[in-house]
Amino acid sequence: MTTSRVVVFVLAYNEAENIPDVLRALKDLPYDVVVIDNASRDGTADRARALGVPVLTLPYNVDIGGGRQAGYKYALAHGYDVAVQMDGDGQHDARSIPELVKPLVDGRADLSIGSRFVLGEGDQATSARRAGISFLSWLLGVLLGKPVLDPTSGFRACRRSVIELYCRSYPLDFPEPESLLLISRRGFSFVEVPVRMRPRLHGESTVTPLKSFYYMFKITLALLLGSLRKA
Amino acid sequence: MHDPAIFLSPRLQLSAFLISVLYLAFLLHLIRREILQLKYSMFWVGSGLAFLAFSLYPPIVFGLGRLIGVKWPENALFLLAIFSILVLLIQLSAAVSSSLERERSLAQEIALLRRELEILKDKPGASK
Repeated sequence: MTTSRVVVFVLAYNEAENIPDVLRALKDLPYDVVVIDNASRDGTADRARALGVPVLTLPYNVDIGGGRQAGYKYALAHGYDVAVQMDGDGQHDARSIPELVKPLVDGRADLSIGSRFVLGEGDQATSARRAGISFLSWLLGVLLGKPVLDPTSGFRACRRSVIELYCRSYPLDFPEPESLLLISRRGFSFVEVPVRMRPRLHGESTVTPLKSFYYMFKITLALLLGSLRKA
Repeated sequence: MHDPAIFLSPRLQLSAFLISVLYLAFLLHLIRREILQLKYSMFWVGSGLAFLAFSLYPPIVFGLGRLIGVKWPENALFLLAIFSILVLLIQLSAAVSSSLERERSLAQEIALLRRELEILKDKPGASK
């Protein structure tokens, strides 16, 4: 069997302080890397280019969903077999990527989720955030008929078939839980792989308490409506 | 019950007629200047024509009221107006949604093409 071509795309929005460390950690891995710059204004793209990493620069911010989808479109256009999505804020540990890729190459699943709750090690998020995650985890478990411990994890890898699906259709603002619903309704399988997560290195997360509440409401609605939609 | 004859005073009827005509003229102007696409002006032209018809022959409103089962014909008018506006707003939301969807894929396409261009510039002479 020929080796799978793997691309890791790092989605970044104003992460100039974090992106060099994230990219340096990826240097030791045998994967192609691309930065998806979601129209940052702090020179994120230049920092990445300075390290010799190709950058996909979006002309204006297209939210998390639009940025991720750009990554999948890049993966499809360049003929990759596996695409790994990770955040540019340093929360995701590059050393976990081989474990994310393995189940896909072995044919055990179409998508793998890097889950911080399988082992319970590393950063476990704040209690409020954990409560939100457990609710989503329960809701998705009911809708998918299969437990998901970390449905909001943005550290994932998927195979070509899922890449193609995501190029056609990818949810908008907070896409993680919804994109899981999407693949399982199309009959694709997923596994959760234990990973370690760290608190973000520099700067503030874009998520505030009010936004979190709005997010919970919106994502619940999105999931319920999504499960009504025709597959 | 209302007497159709006194439902609109002649003066009010004249005002309503003039307003409808002005409204339609304004719409026509917008359409001719291509400020408003025909697709989105249908509703407005339709509402203008309906308003014109009411002003020319007010008893239409009574017929509508009876049809819906509303006692006061004015309320039938309001009900219809509000409902039409709701439908229009939903149509506009749908239009905005599809515009945003296009805007998103356009941005992604530009990003991919920029990258292609970068690759081409890095390799002068090479065809790819």
